[in-house]
Amino acid sequence: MVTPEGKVVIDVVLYRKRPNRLIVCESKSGANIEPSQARRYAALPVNHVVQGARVDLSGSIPPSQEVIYACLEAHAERIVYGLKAIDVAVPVIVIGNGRITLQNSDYAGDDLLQAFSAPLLLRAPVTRYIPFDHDSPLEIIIPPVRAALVQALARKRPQVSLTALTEECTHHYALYTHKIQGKLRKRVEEAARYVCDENPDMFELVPRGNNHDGMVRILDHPEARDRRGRTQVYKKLSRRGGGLVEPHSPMYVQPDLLDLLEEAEQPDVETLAQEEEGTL
Amino acid sequence: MTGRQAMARQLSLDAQSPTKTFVLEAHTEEPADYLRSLFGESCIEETEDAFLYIAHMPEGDFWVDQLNQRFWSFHTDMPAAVAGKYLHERVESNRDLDWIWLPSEHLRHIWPGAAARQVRTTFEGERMLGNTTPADSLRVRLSGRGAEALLDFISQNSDYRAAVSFESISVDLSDPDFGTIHEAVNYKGRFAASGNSFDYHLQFVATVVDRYSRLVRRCEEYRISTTDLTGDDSGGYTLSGSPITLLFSRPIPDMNRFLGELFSSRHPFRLWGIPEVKRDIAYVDAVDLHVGDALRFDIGPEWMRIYLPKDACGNVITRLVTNLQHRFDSALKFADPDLQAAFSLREFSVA
Repeated sequence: MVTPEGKVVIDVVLYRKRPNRLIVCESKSGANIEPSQARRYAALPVNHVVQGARVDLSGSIPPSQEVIYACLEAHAERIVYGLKAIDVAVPVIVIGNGRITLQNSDYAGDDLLQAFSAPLLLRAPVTRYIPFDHDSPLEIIIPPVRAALVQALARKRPQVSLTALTEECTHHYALYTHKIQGKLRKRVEEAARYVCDENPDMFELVPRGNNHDGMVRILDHPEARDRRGRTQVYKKLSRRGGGLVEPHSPMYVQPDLLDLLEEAEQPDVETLAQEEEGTL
Repeated sequence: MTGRQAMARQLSLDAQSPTKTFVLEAHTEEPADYLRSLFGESCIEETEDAFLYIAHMPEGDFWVDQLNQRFWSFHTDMPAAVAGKYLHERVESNRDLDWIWLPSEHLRHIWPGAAARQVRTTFEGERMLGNTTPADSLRVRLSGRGAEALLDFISQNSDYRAAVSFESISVDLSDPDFGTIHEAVNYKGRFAASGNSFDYHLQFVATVVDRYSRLVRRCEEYRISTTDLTGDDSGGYTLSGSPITLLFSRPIPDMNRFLGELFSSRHPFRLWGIPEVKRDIAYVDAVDLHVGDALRFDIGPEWMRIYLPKDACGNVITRLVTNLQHRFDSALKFADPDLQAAFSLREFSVA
């Protein structure tokens, strides 16, 4: 969004209806502060944020906002130091292993202070809304691409275009600009090539050309097989990708002997019923 | 022409030949055409009711009620095994069609104040648990009015608490206006009824389905999606939804075994995935092979987090959760209070 101090691309805007409170967040994966960016953040007028983020305010209380930084625990010290060095007074949310804490709390509003009066202990890792981006290593991108291709098998598709594949395995695709989307498509194509090479009897990659989108052709269709054959194909895909071996189980199912006895009892039950009705 | 009156006459709830009702979840914009594609054009007869059809099979008829456009009722007097086979074949071969998956609590509290006549519980935990717990397998069949009390007693024992999962239940219902019926229902939404009121049976089925439907729809409120704010390339999106988190009542004793079974591509879960385990947490990009939805999992020793994509059906969650109740932990819970309320029926009341 454009402000008198310059352009700001806000990472996250959180909004609470009552009392029209906004939190504007800059998320840092690294340890460096960009001084001009930090100053622009700190000077953001709340009305610009409301308009730029298309926030629908409720009630008549004027909106208020708080700017925060979020960073990883490993970089927290440098981030806090960097902000202090340029005199930008904002609180910092620190994501650690198993906990989230608030630093620079002297600058935090009441809501944040209350929420982080003690470290927020996590029972589980941080939620993965965005599991990868265009800069992620290939081994992170391959699993969702592989799953999207298995999804195409389950849906009996004959082929899937690389653009469609990118959109399906990147649910956050729409978050990015055209330029970044292009990079994502390229990364997904690389991952698709890996999966096709891993399963040459299942998938074939038709690379993207200058004037046409690429695609992955499906060569084998498990859903056209019987139940057992279908499962075997999916298992094969799993094994090739380094999947876990399922627990050992017996090849046959022992019949329930009590059920057999119950069946054998049936004529006696019927006889008894007839006797009670006086038909014998 | 025939209609609902004819259906009520034909399906007489005779004790010698109880009426069976199978509830299937169907995803289609064209219910009538879809029904014809399932059974064949020549087998389907229209009725005077626009939402009611008859599917003529060699052994008998299905009265197919699409009044609930998502959850269809198949009423029949055919033998249960025959009718079940017909529907099983269609569910197996159509990813837009599925059973409903009633959680244990939905069966346990099947009708307010109704005393259970018979109760069956099944727990088959060998594949996911190995021999790590005293109750890796438990099947209980109880009859009589003390059945539920005895199950409560078993559930109080910490060794068995996670292994008491309702598979089916039968109850006697009586109402001065409707009449009396004897209803049996199992966890896959199969009902059998005898008595003197077909309307009462329909009410019973509708009530059970409505509660289940509420759970499915609530799960769907958690689907994760983004909405463009500006309509151009300038960026800016709102994020909706959040992962659904399950909390287990006991830790997963053997993570590899648990994951191997869950993502084996086989029934009942029909999930494909290659878990990546880092520091006791499994991360899985999975595919629900029945409906063809991709979904992600994070799985820790005592919890499971499921990321449902924007177009996914909520029954992906109910199928997973109900089957986990029968194979891993009958006492699992949703972390979110709203979901847990719909799951455990704490919010349930009859109008």
